[in-house]
Amino acid sequence: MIWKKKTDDKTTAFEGLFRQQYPPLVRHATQLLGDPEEARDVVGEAMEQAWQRWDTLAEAQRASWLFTTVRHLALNRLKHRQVVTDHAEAIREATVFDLQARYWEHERLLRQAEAVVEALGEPTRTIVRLCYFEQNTYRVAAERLGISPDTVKKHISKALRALREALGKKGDER
Amino acid sequence: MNDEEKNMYSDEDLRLLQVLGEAAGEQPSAEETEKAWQQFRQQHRQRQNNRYIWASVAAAVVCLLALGLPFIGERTNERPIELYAALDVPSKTTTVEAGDSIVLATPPEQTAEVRLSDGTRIVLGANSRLTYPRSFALDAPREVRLSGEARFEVTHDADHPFWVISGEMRTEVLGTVFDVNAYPGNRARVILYEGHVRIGHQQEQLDIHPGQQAVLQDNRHLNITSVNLKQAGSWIEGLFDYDNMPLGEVMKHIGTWYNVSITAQSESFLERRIHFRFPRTASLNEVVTALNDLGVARITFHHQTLQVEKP
Repeated sequence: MIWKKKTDDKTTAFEGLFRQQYPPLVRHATQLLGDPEEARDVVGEAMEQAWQRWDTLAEAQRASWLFTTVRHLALNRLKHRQVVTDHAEAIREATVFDLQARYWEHERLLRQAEAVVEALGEPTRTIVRLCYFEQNTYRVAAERLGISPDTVKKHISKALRALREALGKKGDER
Repeated sequence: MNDEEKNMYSDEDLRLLQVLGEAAGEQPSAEETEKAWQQFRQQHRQRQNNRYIWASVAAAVVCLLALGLPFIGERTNERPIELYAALDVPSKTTTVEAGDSIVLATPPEQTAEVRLSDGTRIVLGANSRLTYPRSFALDAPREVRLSGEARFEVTHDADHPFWVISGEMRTEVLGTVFDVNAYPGNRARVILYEGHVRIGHQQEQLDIHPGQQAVLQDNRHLNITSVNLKQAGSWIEGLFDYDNMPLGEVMKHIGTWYNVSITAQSESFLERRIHFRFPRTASLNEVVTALNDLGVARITFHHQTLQVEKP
């Protein structure tokens, strides 16, 4: 009976973590892999590992552990893809910094970016999504929306500028 | 990123753009997350799963999975929640000619099939209305209007795009099979089975692919999620077929088929997920009896309105 109680506690605690983290993790992995189904697999795998080692994970590090594990699994899959697609190449290039960035840094940025995207509204949001979530070229994004690549570029610049401002950065200063 | 235009950014900017992209990306819906969790939990069976209750009723099989979720805030609203308001509809299928247009309207519990002048086949759901031209103009897009639900199998004609206007939503077809569900008061949605369609709403414009649905959210944005086509399309086969669907959604579908107003007492209770399979040829009474037999809800008639309460 005691054992049962304990596992039930674990289920309850895990359920909270799962419900909270599953959507953002799938989104993150989808961006990396370019495939929502594969992203769900990867997040499932990470959840499985978290379940196995639950007792060794301190409460404060669970979210960051999951995030790091999902990234690791996703990037591994990209590496093992037979054909190195442009997409994989692009992602690896663009996320070099992210690999080093710590989870909380990413979280902080992401919260700001979510606020910026929300504030900009449509069609900027869709344009950003097409170009940097689905990783389409500007040309393809422009075609899909029936607008010119220049307009796409303008919206992307606007979003970038807004995020930089939100982060309190000026111009190209780094 | 294999795109010269994207190379003009610094590494730092590219990183920020990736974060923006992530922020703009789609997350799994609450429904999908729920499903994933249930799957995960079933693989880690911690408890005896005695929550399946099976009941067979007449020729149909109805099953229910009461998930025993912590129903947060199981409060009772003073004012009942309106799930579906009955519409003013004809008592039999009618075809009315108005100038160059034809208006086809269906009564409760019936579907109607029509073939347009271009060969497009449309199955109109219950309590629905379709307005289409007697013949399509040669120099304009093919355009029809829909209130309610319909399945479209559109004849491909690259020179004449096919548009379905439903309330504020416009579906542009590029040769395809899809459902539009746009009952007044419900969230308008488009479910795509084959081919390719483009959904427009105000400034927004999105393409969806087979197995996806676009739903016009309460915040006036289009949301795209994946959908189980077999279940979504079950209405065409004359079935209510729901797997792990919130009770509230199931009740709405029952309302739209029988055109009966439905109210509920408590909101959280409507989130309960059920498995339910039943023929649409059954009477409303039979469906209500079947649901009541499961013990998931107490459904009663009051003044022509179905009231859904906790058992």
